[in-house]
Amino acid sequence: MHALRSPASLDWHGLGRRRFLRLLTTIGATAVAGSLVTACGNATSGPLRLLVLSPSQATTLAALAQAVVPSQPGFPNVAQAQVVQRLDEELWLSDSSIQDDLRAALGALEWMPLAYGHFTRFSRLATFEQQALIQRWMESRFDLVRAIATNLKLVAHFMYFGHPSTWGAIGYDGPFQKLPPILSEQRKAYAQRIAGGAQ
Amino acid sequence: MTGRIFQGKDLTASQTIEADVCIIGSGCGGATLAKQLSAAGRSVVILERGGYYTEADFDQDELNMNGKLSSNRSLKSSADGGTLLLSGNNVGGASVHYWADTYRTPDDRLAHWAQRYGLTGHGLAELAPAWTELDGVLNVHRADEDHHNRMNQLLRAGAQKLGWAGSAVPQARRGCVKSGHCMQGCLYAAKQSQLVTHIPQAVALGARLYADVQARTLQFQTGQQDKVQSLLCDVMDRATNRPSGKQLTVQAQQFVVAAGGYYSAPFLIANGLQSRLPALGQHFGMNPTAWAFGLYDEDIVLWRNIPAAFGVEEFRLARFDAAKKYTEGGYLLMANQVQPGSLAGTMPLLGDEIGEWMGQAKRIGSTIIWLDDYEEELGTIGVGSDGSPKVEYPYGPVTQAMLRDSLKKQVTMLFATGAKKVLLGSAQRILLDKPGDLSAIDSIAITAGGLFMAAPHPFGGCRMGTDPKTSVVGMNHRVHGFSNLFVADPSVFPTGPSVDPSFTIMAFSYVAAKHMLAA
Repeated sequence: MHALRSPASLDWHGLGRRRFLRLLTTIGATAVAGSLVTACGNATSGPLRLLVLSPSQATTLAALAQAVVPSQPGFPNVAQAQVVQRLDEELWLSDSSIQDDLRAALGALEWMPLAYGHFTRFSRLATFEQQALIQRWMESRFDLVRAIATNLKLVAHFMYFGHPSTWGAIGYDGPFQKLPPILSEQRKAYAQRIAGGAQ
Repeated sequence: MTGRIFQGKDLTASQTIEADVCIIGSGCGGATLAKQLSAAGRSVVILERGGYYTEADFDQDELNMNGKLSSNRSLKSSADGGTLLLSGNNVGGASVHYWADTYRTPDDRLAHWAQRYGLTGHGLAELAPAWTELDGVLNVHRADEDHHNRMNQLLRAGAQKLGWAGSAVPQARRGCVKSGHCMQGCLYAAKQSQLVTHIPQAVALGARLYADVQARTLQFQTGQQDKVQSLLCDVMDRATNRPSGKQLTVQAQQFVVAAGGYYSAPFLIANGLQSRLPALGQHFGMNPTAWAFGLYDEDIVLWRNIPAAFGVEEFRLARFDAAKKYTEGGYLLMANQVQPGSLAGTMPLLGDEIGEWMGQAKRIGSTIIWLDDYEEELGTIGVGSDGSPKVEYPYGPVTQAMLRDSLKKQVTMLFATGAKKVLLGSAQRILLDKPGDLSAIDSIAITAGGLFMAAPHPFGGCRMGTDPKTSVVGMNHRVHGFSNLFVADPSVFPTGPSVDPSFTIMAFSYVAAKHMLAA
């Protein structure tokens, strides 16, 4: 007994998952054409060179990450915790389907506010509006909307609290015996490409 | 004759190698089999898609080690986006990042496999001698008092208070220093993973292991479809995690697929076997997990000492009433162990609220359950558009009821052990400050991101049985219709083993080795 849940349960208003993501991303790409900004806007310290995420996707990710991380004193911002760069690095080393899904999810998230009473895209909302929407989407009755919100929130927190700049604020004493990082050849290769401007 | 471990960088040109046996995968199934066959004098080649990382590479950093050891950086999910699929991508496979829980398959499960699925040759009589030997190899022992961290002490006390059966969990460790980095690979070689046990033993007996080599295409003997002649592989460029352009071709008398529950069935499907074996990719389960968090007035420090020293076994088997309606259970309840990224990532809190909780991270306790997949609601595994595994898991009504029951039991346990607040690992923010009404749990969505879930123990897809229409391998682990193609990993299980699968996988490989030697 395998088909307990119809494939249609993954749909949003009758659209298949991939079609839905493509549609939202296409709408977003059209709307934003000619006005692409340098990656990450106010949430980061400056232009980022990335290998997987586009500038607009990076902007959305930075906005989402900044909305879900703490703002209390002692916590770094997402730029200091290198959330966008680290996720871009992890994606560069992952299967193409994961890259495609994350990019599509960011594209969808950027434009989903239009369907929830806002007349602008996600990255331009105030932080309290972004947080309210993310919370609402995480509890959505639509599988796809819920999956987008929870997965993006999860990876943002994973990258943020995995970064040493956050550990002092949470009382985490770091790796046992405080070993220095040992970068894999993959991390080194990503860094070399970023430094060299290769794609 | 001593063997050798080759890495992608050692393979400077495409080449062809020969062996008696070619094993795809170096985890619990493949490494154990390699050691057994090497000990019997067979020339063995082991192929591993991931890299060869040793203690010298283990920095115990959560993100760094996730990248070195985890397939797809732990970012791969089920098709609905709801469950993270966790598996190893390194020499030693998932055993390098597992928790070292080392349960023998419960007698009731072995009996069930025999009675309902007709398994023969995999009962207690056949597996017990393997476990006896493996107990010595892996130094399997019950966790002692010194290796119960505060969360495990609380869990044990809570179980006693609630009258729930439980016991110290069998561990595969030798000289554990309580670093708490089991999931980051054990720098101290204390955890008895395949990396420090069967792999070096097999190599010492002459096995050759090729890391950074991805098995791609089985070539069948011309004019026949029942014998594999050779295997074409891509040599990976580890730095970019992409094919290097070089190929390795393996010619062998026997081929074994031991790529793990997430990769064995997709590999065979990609090689065109599904048309002959309709059960290929069916009957798939993955031991989904669900968890809850408690905030205590004392330091818990989830991230130190061993993860699961004590296990609540009261609810291991699902219970049904006289009308066969599910009532409770169907999971093991354990202490959770996570480093900060995973801890925060799986909480449904945002902004300053996650800051308030994580600001007290030392005082956060957590429990986790390992679901014993309900066998009437299993899923499927196939191949996605980019060649990666595609998991469709239905989360049927009984499965959902099991997960909800597990959340209620976890809430009960956390409050019983002194938690002041309890937070569920659900997307819906459910924060409780006292035990009592748990009805909110009944409305939690389970599918597609409703719970933060991960699945580290896949099984099925190459189910063992006698009928080629309903199973993929026979009792000798040989793929139906093929004379020299075998499967030796949890893909062959008819259901989940209801406990951590590693010891079951290893014992099954002992059985597979006997059949292959006799073939």
